Amino acid sequence: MFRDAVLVAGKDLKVEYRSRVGAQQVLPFALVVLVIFAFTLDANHKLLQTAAAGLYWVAVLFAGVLTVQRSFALEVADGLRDGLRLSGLDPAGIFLGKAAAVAGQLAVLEIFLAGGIAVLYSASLHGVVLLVLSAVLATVGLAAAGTVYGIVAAGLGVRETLLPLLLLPVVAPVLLAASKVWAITLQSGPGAWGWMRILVIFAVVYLAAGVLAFGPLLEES
Amino acid sequence: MRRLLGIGSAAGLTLTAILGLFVTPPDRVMGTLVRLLYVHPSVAWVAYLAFGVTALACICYLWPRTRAPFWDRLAVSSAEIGVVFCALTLATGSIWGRPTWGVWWVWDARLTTTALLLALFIGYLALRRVTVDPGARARRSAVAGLVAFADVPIVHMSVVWWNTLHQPATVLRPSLASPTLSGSMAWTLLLSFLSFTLLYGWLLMHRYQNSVLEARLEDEGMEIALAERWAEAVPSGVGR
Amino acid sequence: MSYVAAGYAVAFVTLGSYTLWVLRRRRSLDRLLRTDGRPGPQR
Repeated sequence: MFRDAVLVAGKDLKVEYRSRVGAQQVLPFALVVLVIFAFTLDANHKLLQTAAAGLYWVAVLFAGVLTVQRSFALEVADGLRDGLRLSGLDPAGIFLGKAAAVAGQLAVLEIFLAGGIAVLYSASLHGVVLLVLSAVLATVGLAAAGTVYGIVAAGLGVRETLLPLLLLPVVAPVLLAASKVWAITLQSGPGAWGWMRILVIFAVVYLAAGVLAFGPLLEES
Repeated sequence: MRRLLGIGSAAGLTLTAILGLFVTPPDRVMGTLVRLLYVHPSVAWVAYLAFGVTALACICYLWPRTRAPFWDRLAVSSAEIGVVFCALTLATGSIWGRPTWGVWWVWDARLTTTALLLALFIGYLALRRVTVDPGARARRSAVAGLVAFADVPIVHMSVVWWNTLHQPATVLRPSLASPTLSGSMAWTLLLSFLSFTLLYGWLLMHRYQNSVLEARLEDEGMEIALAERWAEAVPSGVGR
Repeated sequence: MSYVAAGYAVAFVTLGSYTLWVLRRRRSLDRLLRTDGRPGPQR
């Protein structure tokens, strides 16, 4: 299973590396989102600084939806899903591979976006350990849930609109917990570790769900 | 059976409305607003019940030994009713909340979780509407439904932690012997729960029957339409 | 009192409408499917 995962992840990341869609389109989009938040909040310095954590994670979420869309757009084009099904790869491995690729791309994005809020919202990024740890957990959860719903919506003509509708309510707890941790950490407050528990639970539940469900879902997508 | 449910729920609901609106006394603290107590919690209970039934049906469908179209149809029927009742829960809750808290909405645990629950199952219904092949539709929505439902405890946990303003349960306290409701109010509340639950049962049976018919329509609809067109082409009834 | 009336009205109107919708759909489905009583060739 893990060998197949590495294979699939490698393929996805290689495609990304060659096409550079993530770097050239999704990242600028996410940064523009950060800028737009400033417009809508009237460049209120104090407000942006307080809201930095929440706005950051909304931007990450939007970028995540796009990344998942792209991850499955790759497969749907040219009937590659049949190729995946016939390849003899373990479906759980395919799931883990795709989720890992999405997580990897998101991770890179998040680093740049963190720089974005440091610059644009004057957020002071101390407590790096907590920030990174929570981001890793949240990203794993987002990628796993996104990949599960990605395959559910894959092949449907309305994938672009259905995927966000399915995904956003589901990942609401991740948004909540992650932005809580970041908000607390950026203001050097207490109580961040409690929220980590939610991130861990979510990541575990959706990784498990994906590993179990991806096979049957892939069969008739 | 269905007729019994129908009559029972109609009678019960009428009685509830009469009792709730006219007969029961206003509350010491809440005033006349307490009358909404005979609608809102029952409707919320039915919403949760309906989604619970959907989740169970999804499990039964996915479990190889019990897989059958029955569970898939039960799941969608219950989910649709659940969405209606869930939206109603939020609406009645808002209507109660406005004069009580001064605002239409507060971000407390129960409201937020219920709103997310509504969004989750609207997504479930949207997924079903868009998937054409019945087998694929059944399997995908069963997974989506289950995964959504599995998310609910996580959502609940996080939101409870996040904020809690909602009324503590006035009746469902550990010692049922001393609810903070006086006689006629408690009975009306009980009647209300029963009546709305009977309504759920009745609606579920009807809606399930609809989904059976819709499945038949999917299978036979084309043939029936063709037969009709041929019948039109040979109006004198002479066989082709 | 008006809030209470609004609440009950919303609840009963919504549920009534949904009930009617379900029943109407049932009737149209019955009509669509029970066409084998009509004259015409074998299906």
